[in-house]
Formats: sequence, structure tokens, C-alpha cells
Amino acid sequence: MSAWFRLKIADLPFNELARRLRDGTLLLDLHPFVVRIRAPQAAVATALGKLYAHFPVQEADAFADFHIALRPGRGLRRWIRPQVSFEFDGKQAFKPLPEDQAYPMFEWGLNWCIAAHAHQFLILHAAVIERGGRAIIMPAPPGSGKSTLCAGLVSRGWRLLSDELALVHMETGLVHGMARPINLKNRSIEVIRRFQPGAAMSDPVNDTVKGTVALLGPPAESVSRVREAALPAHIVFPRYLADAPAAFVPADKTHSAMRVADEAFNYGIHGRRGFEALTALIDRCTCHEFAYGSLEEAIEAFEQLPGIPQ
Amino acid sequence: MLAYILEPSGRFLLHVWEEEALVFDTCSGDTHMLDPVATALVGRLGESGLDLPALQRWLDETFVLPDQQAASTLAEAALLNLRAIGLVRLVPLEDR
Amino acid sequence: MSRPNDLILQGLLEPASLERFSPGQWDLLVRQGRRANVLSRLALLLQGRKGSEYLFAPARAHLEAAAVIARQQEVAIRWEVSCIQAALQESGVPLVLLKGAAYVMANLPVAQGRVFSDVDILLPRAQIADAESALMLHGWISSHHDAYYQRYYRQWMHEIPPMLHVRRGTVIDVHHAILPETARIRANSAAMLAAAVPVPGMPGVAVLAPMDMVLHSATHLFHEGEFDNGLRDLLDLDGLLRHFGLQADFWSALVPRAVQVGLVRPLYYALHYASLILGTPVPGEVMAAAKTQGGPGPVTGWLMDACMLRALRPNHPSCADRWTGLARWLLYVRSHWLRMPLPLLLLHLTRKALVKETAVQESRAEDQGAQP
Repeated sequence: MSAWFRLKIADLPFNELARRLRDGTLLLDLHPFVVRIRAPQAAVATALGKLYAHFPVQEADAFADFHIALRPGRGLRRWIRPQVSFEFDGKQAFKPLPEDQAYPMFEWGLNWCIAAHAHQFLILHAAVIERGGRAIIMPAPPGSGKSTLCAGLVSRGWRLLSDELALVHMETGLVHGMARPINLKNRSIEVIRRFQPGAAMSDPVNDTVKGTVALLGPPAESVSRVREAALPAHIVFPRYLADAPAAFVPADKTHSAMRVADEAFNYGIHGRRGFEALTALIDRCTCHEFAYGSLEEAIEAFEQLPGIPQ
Repeated sequence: MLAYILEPSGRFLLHVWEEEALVFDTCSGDTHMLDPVATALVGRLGESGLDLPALQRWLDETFVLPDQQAASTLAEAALLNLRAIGLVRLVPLEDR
Repeated sequence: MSRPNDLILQGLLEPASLERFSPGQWDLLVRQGRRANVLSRLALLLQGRKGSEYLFAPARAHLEAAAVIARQQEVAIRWEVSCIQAALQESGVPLVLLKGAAYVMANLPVAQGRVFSDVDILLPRAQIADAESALMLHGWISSHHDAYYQRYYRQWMHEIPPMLHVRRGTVIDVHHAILPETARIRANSAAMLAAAVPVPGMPGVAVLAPMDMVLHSATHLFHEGEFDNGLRDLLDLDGLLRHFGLQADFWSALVPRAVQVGLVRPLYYALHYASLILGTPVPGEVMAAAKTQGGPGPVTGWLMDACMLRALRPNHPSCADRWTGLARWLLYVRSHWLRMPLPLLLLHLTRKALVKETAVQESRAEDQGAQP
């Protein structure tokens, strides 16, 4: 195998992918992290094969940042209502969930692993997209339509960095993403299916804590450029409002900074350096409120943002 | 007579955007927001300190306010907030 | 002692050997260090070392992340102590800090990169009620509402139920003695309180005198039943002994002081296991004196070695053999055996076993609430 060739999930036959997942020897490269996964559930192999197809894998003896296992429940329950539990390096991290939620649990659990450990970054609960070298960070609480907007923009040529976690480098101020799948909930699943027919999407799972969820695969180009960190240019606080015309309203920097701090997982842990990183981020960005009722209009509006190439 | 002075030590980091500011308390780790009046007061106070009447006069001259009463209400509220944060202290005015 | 699998220990004891670590070894080191809560200690140790910037970059990121938490905890602990001081000042209760908070406020090298969560304080028993009401006035509330636990703490323990600050979410453990009232070993807490030394620049705040600090750390480690942080606590002892050992008279006065306050057995264990596992330099005559005056008999000594040498390794599957689980369980039972009479022990363990299931479920549910 030549040095430039990097083995990808798509290069593994399904049986080999399933075997590695069963044995706990699948090392998924999600730059800047490598995750070692043990998951015997067929649904997880299917979802990873479909949504992570373009991601590189590493050999079993490589360094992994996080060791994750999705373990089938034990005891009598396994026959009546099978469950799955999420283990971080051999320790159960959350209450078990019904087995059909195994794949979404992998995504949520991985988010937790990163948010709870990767303090080399300021970690924001935010979507990040990029075009022409200018990144847009969209911090927002759940239910704001952030993921739907992110999915829509990404399907129209914006590069996906992240749908959930913005990793802001403490020294450079550059934002890193992992180009992982986008977490769609409830009605937005149907919205995106209609908006982008034929997109790679996981089977919807009903009755999770977040309602019905499905994950949307990232564009191949975003995955291949995952190592390119981007300089943040805009901070947008999105809000879906039925029938509202898509419009940006300037947001003042002080309030924006407080809202970004509220949406950060580890702002407090960074202390003084966190404050400096936060104010540097706000300094270099233009801040906007953004309400939208139609995805088409929203995408048009984003293309009009200052400094964004057509 | 009492005077308001700015906490002189390096305890607080201040970042000003236009009329407002964020303050970071390096001891408690808390971040606070300062409204335009509080931000202006912090800019004016410095380490030399000012008493309340002098502060109100200055506020009245600097901001366009409807009346004298508004100036004193705003100043008092902002000073209370700044003292709660710890950024401003009330000290006896020495004969300087 | 050779423990080829205990990579985090190897890194802490021989940082130069890290230059030859493979990615796979780094992988294991990070996991062991994270579980044992000592990754940040390694991070701070390496920060001053030449060539550290060339170590394996993906692992360095984890060290850096651990150091961020440790640095923040130091800032937070200083603030917390100043809040406790302010709360107790009016009531006039003298405040003696224990363990992590004491190491930080006394600026001891052992505080570098130490991870901890709660502040432990020691007060004269007669002033507990005053202190408790002063703390409640300033936003701390009792964290155990269960009547059984309230009684358990108040009647049998050397501390009152942990107090939680309603706004900051921080916890204080308020002790009135070094060991529980019912413990088989009687420690002279009053003598240790009397010898406490003030913290410069913080009126009303003190820490235990150097020898007493070592004795308390030893007692805490070898009388508590939970060894999740066993290696971290042994590293504390190592750091304290190396630091105070440079002072004239420290070593010669240590065993006599331990005899005086009734803590020579835990001191012996501390010296024995610190030198055995971490190579802590202990003068031969001090070790011999501790052994003569308070060492265990041959059978107990053998059993303690068998258990301790397992429990003091990182609590990670890669540092366990087939006996590790049993060893940890025996030490857990031993700690309760040392702490309370047999009928009470049985009652307490039964109750713990019965309520454990619900407690685990509740804490899991809380964990889940924290997920993004």
C-alpha cells in the first residue's frame, strides 16, 4: 500500500467493517481526533458505512483519543426490551437506551467525550460552515433550526465543518470541525429529504429524548478538506420562525459574547484564557441575528453576507 | 466624604466594544456585562476616585439625559452594580 | 518495583523514558492517567522539561487539556477558600484547611497539577454548630436530606454531611476530627489543630503543621475505603515527604509526633508504600522506627501488601490482575471495620447495598442531562 493512499470506511467491505466494530478495532479518523469504536450492532455498522464512507480509518495499533463501546444490555432485559449502553474507556457514561437508538447514542456520546475532555479548544455548541475561507459560526440552543439551516447551506456548496461542536483553537483562533453527520430532528428530516432528494441519511429513530432523529451524511468534499481549519468571520444566531422573511439584524458585540459564552461547554474551565479567546473571537467577527421561514430564502441571504464569494 | 475608586489590582480584565464592555473577574472566574453608563463610569473613575456629586455632574454633562433625577438614578444603579462585581470600591476620601 | 503495564507511573517517575514511547503506549498512558486523575500532574511535570515539546503530539493535547482543568481548579480553590474565610470570619471560628486546599494555599509543590473537587476543612468540635450556621447564612446547604445519612454522619462520623453552595455548586466537607469517633484508632485531633500554622496573608486561615499534614494525608489514604484516587493520594504523600524532608528535624521528629497523636500505623503504611511504589527517599532509621512502633504483624503485613500493591495502581483494567477486584473490596470492608463497631458496619453496608441501585440510576440520569 503506498503512503499517500489512506484507507477509508468506503474501502472496507461491509463484513470487514462489521468485524472491526465487533472486535473493537475500528479506528475512525475524525480530525482532530481518532475514535476507537466497539459496536456489535448491525445498525451501527450500516449507519457508519453509509454516513462516514469518506472518512479515513487507522490501523488497530494507532493512538486513539477516545475509546468508545456500545455494549448490548445484559441480563433478562436483553430478551424483552434490548438495550444499549455507552461506555467510555470501559466505564458506562450514560443510562442505557433502547437498542434501536444505538447509532444516535454513538453520536451523542462522542459529542460528550469531546466536550468533556478536549480542553485544548474552546468548545461551542454551534454549527460551523465555510465558504471562501470565511467561517460562519452559528451558536444556538436546540429547537432554533440551526441544524436544518446548516444542512440546507451545506447542500448548496457551503463547506461543512460541524453541526454541533465548534472547536476554537486557543492560540490561533481558527475554528476546527470534524465534518461529522448532521443531526436532524422531527420535521426537519422531511424538510431536508425534500430539499435534497437522494442525500445519504440514516434510518429515522423514533421516541428518543430529542424526538425522532436521523443523521445526514456530510458532503465528500467537506470530509476531504477536514484538516483545513478556518478563520471565523461571522457569528450568526439563527432562529426558525414560520413565514418570517429571511433577514439579518446586527447584534451588538457585548450581548453576542455573553450568548457565545452561554453556548460554550468549557468557557469556565479556561478561566482568563477563555475570556481572551472569547473576546478575540468576537473582535474578529461580525455578529447577526438571523430569522428565517424558508430555507431557499435563507440560503440566498447567506450568499449576500459581506466577504462571501458568489 | 467618600469616593469611588476602581479596584487597582490586576484582578479584572476589561474588554470594551463601543459603548459597552465585558468584565472578567480572574478571582471568581465570573464574566459580567457592563451597560453604557457603567462602562463610561469605569472609563472616568480611574484610580484617583471621584465622589458621588462629582460623578453625577460628569454624567450629566456627558450623556443627554432628560433631567437631573435621571442622572443620579442611573449613576447610583450603575455604581451599585459595579460595587457588587467588585470592580469599584467606596473608600474614605483622604485629604489629597 | 517493576510494573511494566503501569505506563502513567513510568511517565511520572522517569519522564525521560517517554521519548521512546510508541503511539500505542501513549494511548494507554493517557487512559490510565485520566482514570487515576494524575494526567494533569504529568502535564505540569513535563512543562518545565526540555524536549517535552517534541513528545507525541496527539498525547500532548490530552496533557494540555488536563493541565487546563488543574490550573482552573487552583484558581477556583483559592476563590472558594476566600469565600469560606469571609463566611466564617464574623463567627470567629478558626479555619484549618486540609488536603488539596491546604496544599494550594500553602503553595506546596505537591499542589502543582493536582486535581480535586471538594474543599476539606477541620474545625474544633465545639464550634461546628456556629460554623454550620455561618456557612448556611452564606449560601451553603446540607447535601444529605436522608434522615439515615444525617444520623449516620452526626452520630458516627468525624465530619458533618457535605455542604453544597447553592449558587456555585461547590462542596465543603466540614470535619471536626481526623478520624471518626468510633474508629479503632484514636487520633489526637486537638493536638493537631493546636499546632496548625497560619496561612500568610489570610487572617483566620491555617493549615496543619508539616508533620501533621503528612500524618493526615496518610490517615486519609489508608483509612478510607475508596482507592479510585489511591495513586494520586500516594503521589501527594511522596511530594510532601520529599518537600518537607529537606527541612532540618523533619525526619527525626516524624515518628515521635506520630506516636504522640496516635497515627503511627498509617504513617508506617505511607512510608512503606511510597518508598516501595514511588521510590520516595525515607531514611532507614525512620522506616525502622515506624515499623517497630506501629508496623503490622507478619500476616497482616502480607495481606496489606497483597491488597495495597493492587489498589494503589491506576483503577484501569490494564493495571489489574485477577485479584484486583477482591483486593479493592477487602480494603473497602476494612475501612468500615476500622471505622465502626461490627453491628453498625453490617447495618451500614446492607443499607448501602440496598440504596446503591437507585443512587446509580439517579446519577446516571444526571450524567445524561449533561450530554450535548
